[in-house]
Amino acid sequence: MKIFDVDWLVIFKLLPVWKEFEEPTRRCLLEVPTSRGVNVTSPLQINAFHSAVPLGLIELFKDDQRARLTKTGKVLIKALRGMSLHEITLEHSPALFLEYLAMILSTEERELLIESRNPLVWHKDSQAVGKKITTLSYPKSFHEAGSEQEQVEWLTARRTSVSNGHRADDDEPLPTLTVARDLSHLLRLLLAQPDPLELSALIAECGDIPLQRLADAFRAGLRSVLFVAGLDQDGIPEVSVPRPISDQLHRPRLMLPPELEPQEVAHWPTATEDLATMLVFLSEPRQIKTGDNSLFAKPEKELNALLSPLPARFFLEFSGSLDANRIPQIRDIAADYELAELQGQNTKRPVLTLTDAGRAWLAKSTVEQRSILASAARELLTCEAPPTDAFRTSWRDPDLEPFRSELIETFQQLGKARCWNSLLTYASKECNPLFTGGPGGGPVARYHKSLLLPEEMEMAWVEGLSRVLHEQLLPNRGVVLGHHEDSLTVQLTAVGRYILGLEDTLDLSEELTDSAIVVQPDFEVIFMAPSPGLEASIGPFAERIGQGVGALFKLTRESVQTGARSGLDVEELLKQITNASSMPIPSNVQTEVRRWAKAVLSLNWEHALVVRCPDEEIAQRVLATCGKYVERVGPTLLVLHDPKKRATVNRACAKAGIFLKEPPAAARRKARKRKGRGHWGTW
Amino acid sequence: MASPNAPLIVQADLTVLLELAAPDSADARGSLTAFAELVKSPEHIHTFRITPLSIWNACSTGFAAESIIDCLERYSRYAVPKNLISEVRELASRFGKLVLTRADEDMELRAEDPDVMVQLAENPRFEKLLWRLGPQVFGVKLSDRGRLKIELIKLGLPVRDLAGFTKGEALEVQLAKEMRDGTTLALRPYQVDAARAFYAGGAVDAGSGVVVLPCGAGKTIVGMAAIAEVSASTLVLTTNTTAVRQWMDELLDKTTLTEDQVGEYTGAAKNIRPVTIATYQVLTHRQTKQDEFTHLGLFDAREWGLIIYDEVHLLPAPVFQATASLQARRRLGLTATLVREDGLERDVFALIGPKCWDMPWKELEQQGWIAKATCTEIRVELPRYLLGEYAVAAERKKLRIAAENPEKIKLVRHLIEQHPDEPTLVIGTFVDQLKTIAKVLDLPLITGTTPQKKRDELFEDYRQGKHKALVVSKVANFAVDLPDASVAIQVSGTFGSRQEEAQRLGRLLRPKKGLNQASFYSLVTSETKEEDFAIKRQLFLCEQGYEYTIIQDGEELLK
Repeated sequence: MKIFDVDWLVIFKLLPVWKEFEEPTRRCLLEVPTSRGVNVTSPLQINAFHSAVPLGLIELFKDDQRARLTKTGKVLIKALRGMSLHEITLEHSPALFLEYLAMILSTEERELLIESRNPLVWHKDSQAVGKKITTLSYPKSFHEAGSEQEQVEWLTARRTSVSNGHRADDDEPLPTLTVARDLSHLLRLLLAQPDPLELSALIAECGDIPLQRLADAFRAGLRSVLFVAGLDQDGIPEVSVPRPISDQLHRPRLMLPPELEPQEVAHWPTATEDLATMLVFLSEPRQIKTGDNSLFAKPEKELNALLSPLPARFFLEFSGSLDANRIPQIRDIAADYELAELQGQNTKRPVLTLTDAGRAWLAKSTVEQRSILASAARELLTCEAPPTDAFRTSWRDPDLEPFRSELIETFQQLGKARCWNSLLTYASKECNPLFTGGPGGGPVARYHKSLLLPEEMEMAWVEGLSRVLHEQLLPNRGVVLGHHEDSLTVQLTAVGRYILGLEDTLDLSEELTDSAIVVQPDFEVIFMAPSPGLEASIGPFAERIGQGVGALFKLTRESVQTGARSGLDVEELLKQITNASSMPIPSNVQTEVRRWAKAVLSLNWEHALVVRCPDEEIAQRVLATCGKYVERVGPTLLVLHDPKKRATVNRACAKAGIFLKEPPAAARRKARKRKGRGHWGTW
Repeated sequence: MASPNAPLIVQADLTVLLELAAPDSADARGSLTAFAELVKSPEHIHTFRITPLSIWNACSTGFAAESIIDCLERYSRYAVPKNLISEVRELASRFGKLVLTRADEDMELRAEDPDVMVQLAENPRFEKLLWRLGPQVFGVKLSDRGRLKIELIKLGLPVRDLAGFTKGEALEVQLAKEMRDGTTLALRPYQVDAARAFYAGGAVDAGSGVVVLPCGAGKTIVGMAAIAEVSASTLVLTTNTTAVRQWMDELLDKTTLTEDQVGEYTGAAKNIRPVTIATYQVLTHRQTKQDEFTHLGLFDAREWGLIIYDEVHLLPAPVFQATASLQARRRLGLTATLVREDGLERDVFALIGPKCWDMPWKELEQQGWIAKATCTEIRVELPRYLLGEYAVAAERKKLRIAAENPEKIKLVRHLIEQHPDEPTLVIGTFVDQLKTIAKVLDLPLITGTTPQKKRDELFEDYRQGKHKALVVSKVANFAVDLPDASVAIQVSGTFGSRQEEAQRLGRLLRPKKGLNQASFYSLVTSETKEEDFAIKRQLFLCEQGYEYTIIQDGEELLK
């Protein structure tokens, strides 16, 4: 039922009368059908109808035994009954709102409510439409359309196109400048109300505007769903902007949380540290599951044990999810940069192993590694990828700009340490782009189709901000976590500012050099101040024994050799720790570290065919015949390295009267099987 | 509060790092040693550990939890971890919850906290040790004093023992003013302080405890000063006969005791006199494993007023058991380290007493009381003709082949030549190797089979400079006084043992004339199992703070 498609002038005039009725009378009149009469049976009906007759709303016939609505009465009751169908001003839910829209607008009209680049299809995008018109951006887009003429165009755009031959509102005049002006006035009044306003009170508020103009404006407002109309619990017509909008406008305002001085700061492991640990770990191929290519439980557990632990106190604030995401996160990075690769995918025992690019990565300086990952995070946040799953397309989409700018503005508040949870609450309520939606409200509609309730929108934005913190800023040390009393504090670093696009250049020098370490003659590396960069450099070569400051690492033969066999340069390590150390590196440490690294040998398994000769003379004959392909590895043992040349060797030997028997079939199968498993280096 | 130049880094695992170069490091160390154990002391940063025992040791000397925390916070570079603060408070709160006092023929154990009373009353371990005297008092037999203390320590409830000591048989003894050689005996200040800290004027809450001093710092003198303070008959327990003789010699030289007042109780002689020196070995002797210990009666042979446990970290378990019933006698432990290889530090705390004096070796070195030692590891290759044998040998044999590497002999000769005027010890484990070295270099050899008389003669000749170097086996590890040795060349060893390494090095630490410098060389065959063991020794010595240099190619030295 199109409640706007009634003569609101008549209704406006009758409102005082309607209000005079007692509530049972109003209920009784609302039940009278518009198309036929009813029997007057109950005392309630008798009273109700008799009081409505003098006002011209009801006429009695058949000796007052039956009653029907007059023409005027029909106009009023039709509108009021429509308003009573959905208690849209009393409560709000996404489903109820969509039902309301379905009642008052045709499918095409509903689709037209959103000015989107992409045509909307109601059955697919109904929630998007619902979302669109329950955010503040919708009424704002009307107000901020510019001139009255542009407001007229705004209204007209939401009308069914005449050219498509389906005008649903034949009898309704197109919006005029006056309508736009009056509607704007009405809307302002309604936006100022925290609760629904009685329609009669609204009319009274607009005393200067003639009723006819008011009726036209009201009708246009209902039609474009700038406000909604319904009946209150007593059956009195009332009007309001959609509930989420008034909630957003009239809830108590939150203040930006105050700056805090952290009493303790956490030293969060960077992605470069984790990545280096994983790459060193993969210097021995590790078995993976065929299903999802993730590591088997045992190697995953081993790797987990190698990663430096997250600082427990701070970590608990994040509900434990971060630990679980650590390995997948660095695995993704390794995959993106091709630092590790799958081998033997078609076999029963596929493995993940370090690539040459991985070895080259490990040989890069920590500054270089940190720069690459920080720049990638910057690229992600400024251009390429969205912060939450809900934002499925590129940040490059101009529709997403409000989200990006709001996100950056929120993190910009962290120039000083503030309570993270308070900031999230503040941001989710006070600068949540899902409420404001940005110009045109496009992204809200397109990327948050399923979000309608304010609580859901708040949660979604909290999730978005948290993911940027967890996935981009924390692993790149773009923020410093701290504690002030029981509050977790977050403060943006220079790296964080770079990642968010607030700085043009990345400066890691301070972080990497503003600390001193001491290498003890017992091979312990003591950090006298936090130095995440150095931690990342030393980590692959050393056993971690602590975190933050103090005794963090111990250089052992095993750890140095593990690092060295991954391609890490031990001289580079010694150079770095010498530069960072406030004391000379003890000579025994230098000697031993070099000796351990030097002792690392790299050997490869190779498949080969062996020819065992009965004596040295025959071995010599075979060698003379096909020495190009075979190599003597013992007095009577010859090795053919390239199995493809077996036939050639067979032929050459046959010519010399030496017949080489084919290897037994079983052995061949076995050989083939081995070959199929791939070929990876062992040490 | 936390300051960037503060000397301590306090870690959540209850370890504390002390940066020696920081402005207040000396003060910080002074405070820290009262409530934390020095774990290692490399050149720049020392590591201390706060343990329940270290806290209780501190509490027993009057420290409160808040003063410990204040000290940590005052000297800490970063905020002191909260878990550590609560741990210190918790541990300190346990000390003094129980107080043991004398009551006529028995003792009384008092607890202010009713929960502790309930805990003890309900614990079956205390059923036979305690009987209820009142709501907050248990009765304890005098003879159960040690067992009770051990059980309470296991429960984490250290008792404050105010039951006092028996005076013992009075003995007129003083430190001598002049020694045999005519020089005046002057105790070093720290030795006087250590003895006084132990006796504390005869206070009931002192008179049992452990003095921790590095090798060569004169622990024997502290023991003698304690005997003089107590002035009662004394039983001294030490590690071997050589050490017994050394004690006797020292007592006669540096106290007013006469020969008839000092007795040796060893395998060779069983004299019980006002001051008797015995070995742990003789006390723990028994015919078979099933038999009783034959000589444990020595503890009750006289009314001892003081028992001294030399090298208390080596105290064997049966002596611990016997000590449990000797709690009424004053007990002094002497050691270079409270760390025991068997982890029985708690028993030392409960039965001998808390640490009552400690002085870092570095401080002693700086003051010139002990020699400055440098450690050098020289690596030498295995000759080609032994490579094959080594490659196919069993694991134990491999170590032997590497240890007995004949190439080491040339280096031993070279090193002796490099120190022409310094008395030198060549120390090894494998007698065959030592015999060869002694023969090739024409040096006297002392092994386990060398008769005591012969050993004494050789030691005497060595002291007098008749022999420039001695080749010694493991027998020289303990308590042999070789005051002038300033070079040690270790050709083989039980390299895993920290004690052996400390003892061997300790031979060199007595102060030297001139530069007061000692050199400790270890010869190691490169690329062999011996190198693996050497790394353990290297770590231990570095942790003790010795400068450690590695010479990769010993052959180069010879060129």
